[in-house]
Amino acid sequence: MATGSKAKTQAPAGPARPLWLVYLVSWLVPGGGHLWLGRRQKGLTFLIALPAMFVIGLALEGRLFPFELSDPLVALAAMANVGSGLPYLIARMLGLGAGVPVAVTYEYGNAFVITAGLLNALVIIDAHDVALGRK
Amino acid sequence: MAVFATFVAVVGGVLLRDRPAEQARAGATILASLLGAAFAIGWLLYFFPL
Repeated sequence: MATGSKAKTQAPAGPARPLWLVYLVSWLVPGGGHLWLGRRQKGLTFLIALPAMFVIGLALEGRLFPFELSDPLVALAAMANVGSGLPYLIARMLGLGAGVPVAVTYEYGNAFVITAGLLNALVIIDAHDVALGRK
Repeated sequence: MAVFATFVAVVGGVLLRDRPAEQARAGATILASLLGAAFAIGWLLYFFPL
């Protein structure tokens, strides 16, 4: 009997996943948490889009900001950068993200890199909801 | 700006909805809103010197 309610895609039943591990995987690999929880389409979208945003930001001469607590806005930008997870860690290890402030695209690059990290934070929250069965 | 808006729209649409068709519609709405706001603000600021 049709009820008119939206059919929700359910994650396949599986062993209980520790929430902290879902958070860690979601942070490290953008979309990884969703892939692990069985949401392949969402996970693949995030896996492609968020690292792409991060890489484009670096290519546009954006900067990976340091944790300078004396400058709160820089510290906030640094926190946002870290939100990207593994792309951020790899970029740091390779010495990327020095930024070129005089470049025309510098601020655009910063916008891409910072937003990629912030969007991954939203993705982690969404993975939390999926893990708890709310979505 | 358009590339940035596209990325945000794609991620936003996928986050907000579960079905691909609904995700596409939500993403298109977000994209149109971002681009529309950018153009509107750009024109608004055009009339202010410097």
